[in-house]
Amino acid sequence: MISMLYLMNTKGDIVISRQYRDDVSASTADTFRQKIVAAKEASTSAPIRILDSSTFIFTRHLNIYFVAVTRSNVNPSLVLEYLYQKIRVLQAYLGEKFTEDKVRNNFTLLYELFDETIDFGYPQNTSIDVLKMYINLGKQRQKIAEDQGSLTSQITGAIDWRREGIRHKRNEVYIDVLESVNLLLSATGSVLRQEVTGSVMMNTKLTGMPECKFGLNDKLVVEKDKNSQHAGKSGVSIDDCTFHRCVSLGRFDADRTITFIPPDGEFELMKYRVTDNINLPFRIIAAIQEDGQTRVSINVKCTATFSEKLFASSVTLKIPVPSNTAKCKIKCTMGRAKYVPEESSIVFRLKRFQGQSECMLAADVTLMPLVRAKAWSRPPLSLDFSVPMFTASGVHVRFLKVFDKSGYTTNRWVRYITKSGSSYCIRI
Amino acid sequence: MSQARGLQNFISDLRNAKSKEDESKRVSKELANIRSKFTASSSLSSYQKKKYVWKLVYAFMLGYDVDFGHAEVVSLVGSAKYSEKQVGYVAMSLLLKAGDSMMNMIVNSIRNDLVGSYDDAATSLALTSIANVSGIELMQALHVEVQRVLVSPNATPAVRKKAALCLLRLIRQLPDSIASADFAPHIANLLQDRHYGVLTSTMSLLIGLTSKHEQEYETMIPYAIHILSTLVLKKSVSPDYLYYRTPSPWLQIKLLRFLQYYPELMSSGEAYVATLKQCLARILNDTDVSDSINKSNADHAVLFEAISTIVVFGDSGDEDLQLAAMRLLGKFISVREPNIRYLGLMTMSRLAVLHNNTNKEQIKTFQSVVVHSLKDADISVRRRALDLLFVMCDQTNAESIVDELITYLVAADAGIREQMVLKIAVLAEKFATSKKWYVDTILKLISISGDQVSDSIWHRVIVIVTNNSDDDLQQYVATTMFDVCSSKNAHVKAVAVGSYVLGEFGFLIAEEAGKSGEVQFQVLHQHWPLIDTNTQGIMLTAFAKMYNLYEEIRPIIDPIFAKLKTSVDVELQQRSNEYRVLGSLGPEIMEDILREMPAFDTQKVSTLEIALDQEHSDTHDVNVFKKKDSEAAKRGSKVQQLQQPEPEILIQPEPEPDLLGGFDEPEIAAIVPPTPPPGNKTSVTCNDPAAVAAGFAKLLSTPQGVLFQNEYVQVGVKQEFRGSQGRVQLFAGNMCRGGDFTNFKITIPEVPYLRTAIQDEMGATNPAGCTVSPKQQARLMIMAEAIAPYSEAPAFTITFETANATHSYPLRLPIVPTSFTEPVTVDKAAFMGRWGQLAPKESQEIVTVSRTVDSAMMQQVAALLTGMKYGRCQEVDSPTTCSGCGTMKTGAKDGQGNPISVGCLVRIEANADKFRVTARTLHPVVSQGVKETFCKALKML
Repeated sequence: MISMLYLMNTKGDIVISRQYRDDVSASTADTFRQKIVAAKEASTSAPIRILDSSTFIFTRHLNIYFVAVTRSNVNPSLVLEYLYQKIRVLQAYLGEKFTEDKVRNNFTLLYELFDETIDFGYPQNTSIDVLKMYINLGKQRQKIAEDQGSLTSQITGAIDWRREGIRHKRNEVYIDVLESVNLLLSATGSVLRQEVTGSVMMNTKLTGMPECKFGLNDKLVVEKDKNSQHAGKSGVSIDDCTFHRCVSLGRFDADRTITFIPPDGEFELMKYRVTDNINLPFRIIAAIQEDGQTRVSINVKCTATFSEKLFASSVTLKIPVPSNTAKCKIKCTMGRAKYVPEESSIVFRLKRFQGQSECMLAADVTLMPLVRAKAWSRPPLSLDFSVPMFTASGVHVRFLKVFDKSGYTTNRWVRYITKSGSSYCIRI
Repeated sequence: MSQARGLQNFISDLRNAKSKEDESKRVSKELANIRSKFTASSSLSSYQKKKYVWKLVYAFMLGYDVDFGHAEVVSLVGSAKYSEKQVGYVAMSLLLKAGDSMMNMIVNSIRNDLVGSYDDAATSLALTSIANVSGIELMQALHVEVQRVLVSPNATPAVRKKAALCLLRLIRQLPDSIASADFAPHIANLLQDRHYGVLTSTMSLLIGLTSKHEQEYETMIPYAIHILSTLVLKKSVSPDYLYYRTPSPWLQIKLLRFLQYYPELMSSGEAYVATLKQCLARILNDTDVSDSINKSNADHAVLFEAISTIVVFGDSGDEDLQLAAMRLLGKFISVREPNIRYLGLMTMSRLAVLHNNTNKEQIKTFQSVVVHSLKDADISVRRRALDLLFVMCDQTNAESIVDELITYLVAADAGIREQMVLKIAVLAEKFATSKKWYVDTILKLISISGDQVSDSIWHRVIVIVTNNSDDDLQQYVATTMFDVCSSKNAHVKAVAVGSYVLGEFGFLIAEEAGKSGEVQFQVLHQHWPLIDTNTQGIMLTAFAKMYNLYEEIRPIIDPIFAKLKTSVDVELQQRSNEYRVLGSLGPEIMEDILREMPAFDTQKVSTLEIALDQEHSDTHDVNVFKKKDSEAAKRGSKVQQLQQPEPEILIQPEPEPDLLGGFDEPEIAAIVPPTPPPGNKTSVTCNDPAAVAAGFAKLLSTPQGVLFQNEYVQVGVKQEFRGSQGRVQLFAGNMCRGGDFTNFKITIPEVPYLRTAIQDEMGATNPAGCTVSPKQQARLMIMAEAIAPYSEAPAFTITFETANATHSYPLRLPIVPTSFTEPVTVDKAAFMGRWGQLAPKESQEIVTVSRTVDSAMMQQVAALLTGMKYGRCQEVDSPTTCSGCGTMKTGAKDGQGNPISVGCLVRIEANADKFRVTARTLHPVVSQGVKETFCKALKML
């Protein structure tokens, strides 16, 4: 299990540390500093390293390394997940972009959180709202004594993610469907790999202990309700999905209905993956020709295929050029394009890209002749974008029903965003 | 360096980069900038050009790929300004590699700087970069110019120095680029230069040249001695070249080192010899210990070089000098300074190798000091002391030195132990006063440092004990080993020796009280659980020998063998099984096999000597000493071989699986080959083709057997085939009790359808042949792969000469098409289907056998079929037919790269005393080959 945790800045100084077990010493921090931080390896090396028979599992948030040290054979994904949760918790307490100074100024809070989230190296509760009930910035400390009993039942009870007696003036639910598209197209335009990973984020502000029922246009569900008003429409076939632990899986297995008592505040209700019938938001035709040793001519056409009522924002197209590029003459119909030598590519940016429109880019690249001629590897062209109110998989929310004893009405807000995933590439 | 702000910024950006990516981003941005500048149409200013090239050089040194900008480098090299030239040359020596196309362009610029320019700085830059780039074409293009610069009368000393060193670099890469005979006068000229810098560089060059061509530069000796006398005797040197009041120690050392190439110098009787003696005497006598470390270092360096020179001159040199050197060395090996002690010991051991008796005696007086150095804190000093002790050892002091070494071995640390053990073992053997002492010494070694005692050391003990059957050594050793093994804590190696010795010679002491066979057995067996499996194997053999000798312990040993039948270790399993069965074969056979080991072969070089030799041959330096050392070592080992030709150990307690087992049978021993009158050799060949055919046919379906045999020679084969590949071991044994086979040769002509590789330990396939003694075997391992379908078995010939006849036996290897077959089982329908399809490629023959075919014979035929690795297809057979199916695998590849295999179907039909053999395969040649193979085999039924 985790023997020691520390937060380290980019110079390798420890900002704060907590030791949970005696099998590692504080000198391991020196090892980490020398071998990883000082060697400028942290950004390139693997997140798990074994040095001097201690295992270092680390991640980085802004300028702070979160490092877990262990000597035992731990489950690495458990430790990494804990580190991510830890960052999330700290963001909730110290703000989205917390800095080294902020950590130092709140070190008592940090130690409380360290102690509450891990016990003898085993990760414990990292739920923000539960933690917030008992650990806060010192304003409501006295209340804890009274709540001692309820604290236990809260953490060990059947519904440990939600406490009773929550009240909101206005009952609201925000639903965000976020999708990211990964794509690999061959030079001839055939699809080599395509995949949409989506997640449904919820932010609930509901009174009491409401039970919610949530529905997507899942193919299996849609086909089952043939006689309902949705008959005739085909749903989306979801390859696989995972749920937040508040969702009752028994009900889902029985009739694929998603029912749950939500935690208060923000959480990720479900994640899913779709690989069939994907609506690609952009079509790209690239012609890149090498004319001899010293010239490359590039012509790229990009068409937005989604409805003209929508628009894509922050579209970035990276067109690779050889590493010995000397000069680029670029012409484009809209947006801005320039040669970025660090990435050896032409970066073409569009702030706003209307649906059904198209843009063109033509570039004339002059190369520096090399002493030892090397063939250009022609790396793939990549695209970065986000399209609001569009889902590449076609998933949409059919309903969200909220049942509570008091029978209040709920306002529901739904939002869709499709982004490019980690790789949206077209080979050239 | 130029004051380039951009360059400084670039460097500081890179050094402040937080991560590797930041750095590489910055570099690629900068490189892009430089690319765009270099391709820009407007020409760059001198400042810009320099700045960008410096940046390229810096990025290149950080490990980034820089493969442009070479044109700019070339233009900088060709520029007239020094500052530009300098940048150009630096960049060139870094960025350009030998073989670049830009090289040709740059050679002209360099040549201009070298010859055409009157600017020393430019010439020096050119010389430096030639030495540093060192591509072959650059050297070939420019070595003439470099020589010209070196000998040019108007070159300044600085340029000459550089030219000499540059030329040294060139001759190291292209040793033959200088015509030595023509060049010597130039060197002579240079040696008359007044400038000591030039002299020092020239001496470096001269040493480089002399190490390759000694004779050509012999005429330089007077010049060298003259310079040496100026430095040593007159001490007339410009103050610039005084190093802590020592006149140019480097030059002195180089001169002395040069003189060391001519060891016969002193006896040449030339006038300069006296001067040289004077110089050496002066160096030896006038060097005094100084307070200044630097002064003392310089002086000692010169002094040791002088002593080395005296050592090289050896016996031809001056006695007084040698004595003085010896005296000094004696002083040095006891001083506090470890460096000097180290050098003292090393030089002294060189002196000791010289085989000069006065030296030897002299050195012996320092024995106690050297032994003391063995306990030095510094391991390298200890090593040197060990070396010295090793070489100073002889008959008279061997015992005391070996005793000292053994005492020290107890305390020695692991780093040096192995070397010590080896050296002690060699010394003990070389200078043994008695065999008993030798055995005792090795036993002591084993008990002190058993882990470092390599197998070859204790094998050697056993060879010596086994080969000395006349005196009471064997009995003595048996007693000693009995005592050693009686202790519970005996080392594994000691137990190994003990097992062997008690197994072989235990009977010599079995009569003594308390040492009966049973007790001996108990003494060994108590170690059983603690020893490794190799030693267990040796012990098992000892048990077998005891089993043979002492009736009474058979009941104890039997269960041990029985238990080991299921041992995890295959070797133990096999041994125990064989020994167990041996007991049941009858007392004569057992006694015969478990008889005492014969004396070992005494022709081979001792493995210990080999191990020592390997230690010596670690570097190939041009240094004269290394050459001498290794020569001396070789000489030493040869001398020893002549004195005491000792065998290498071949412990094979377990008899070979008895393939050619005829050797020990008395009937064969009785055969004495007919002895025709000596002088005219008759020629003998196979006189019984039927026997040859029978041997061949038998091997077609069995994995091992005798291929051919007569009263002289027995040829056995052991074969193993898997798919398209096979391994055939060929044994040819000398059955002739009369004498050696000389000029023994096995000739295997290559055939196109087999790819063969031959392992030959004895050299029997060499054109010169080898010698096979009586009862010996020549072994050959043939790896064969079928690469095409074929029908003919490959031929080979064995030829040799005995005292009175030349023999020649043309035979065939049993590598036939069916050897590469793998069985295939098919059902009736499939067989008949294929049989029909392959009808056009049929090959058929009728064979007549000696008797009428009956069912027993048909069973033999079926066994033959499976023996040849055909899958029997019983469904299609009647009582008088036998059919089989297989595929012949070849290593040849078809168009897709898959190995080709040929399906084969065979049918043998019997009728009265005839067999009809029908082979149908995909390939007509194979059909024929398969058919012939079967016919041959059937004829022998």
